[in-house]
Amino acid sequence: MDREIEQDLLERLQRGDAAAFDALYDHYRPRIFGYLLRLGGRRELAEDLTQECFLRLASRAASLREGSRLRPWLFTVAHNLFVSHQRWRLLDAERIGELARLQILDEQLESPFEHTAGSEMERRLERALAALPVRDREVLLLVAIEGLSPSEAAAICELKPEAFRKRLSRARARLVGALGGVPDPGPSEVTT
Amino acid sequence: MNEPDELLRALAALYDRTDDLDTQRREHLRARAHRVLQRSSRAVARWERTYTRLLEPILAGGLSCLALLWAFQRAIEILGPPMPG
Repeated sequence: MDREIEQDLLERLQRGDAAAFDALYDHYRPRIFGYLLRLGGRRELAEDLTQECFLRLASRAASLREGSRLRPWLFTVAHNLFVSHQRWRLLDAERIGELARLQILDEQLESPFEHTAGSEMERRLERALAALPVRDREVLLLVAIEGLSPSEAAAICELKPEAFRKRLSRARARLVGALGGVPDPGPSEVTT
Repeated sequence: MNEPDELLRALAALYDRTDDLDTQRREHLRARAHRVLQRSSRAVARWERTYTRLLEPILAGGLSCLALLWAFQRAIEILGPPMPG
């Protein structure tokens, strides 16, 4: 979406214009939903988080600063919602018993896009992406697929540019490894 | 596929392959968001912004200073006046 058009829509949204919300919602909804679907691998989760993301846009639009870029803002909200969900899932004491089972499920998870892939290459890419650790998958989704700049993506992931660059490089190497190319570069770091 | 550029190009091609909420959920969310928009008027948002950026830091800073002063005062009371010489 053109920057000027987006700013105009954002200003109208800040004045409570529902039509401006609709335009932004229709433009960004498939991107945010697709990102969350690839990131989490679960349709219901992606639906819930997409809903929360756009409700936050509606409720907080008026407090966005003038000149704010909406696309990084939406991806930041989506990222934070996903991270919160992951933490909640890990910390929920009642579900600790399910943890091992969930991890096994995660490992066996297929990409939701795999069945609709148009070519064998796309199918292999989707499968390889889905097999990556979430942190590696996320940086590739933001930069390589969604086309955000490395600095925008680093801010979304709350990483310093250098740490982001290393993670992106490692994610690429892992993806190549998963596609049958260069070997896996080893375990990912623990810190965020 | 060993070339990073080739890999990035292949990934970028996945941009067009996306998904969406089903129609019913999409319209339900749209209606909810419209209601939220109506509720959160600009005046409320301006007050919220002023509170977050100005009043809250001033209140937090003021209360922290008062608590610190109180703590120093209590410490002096407990330890007694400084020894002469």
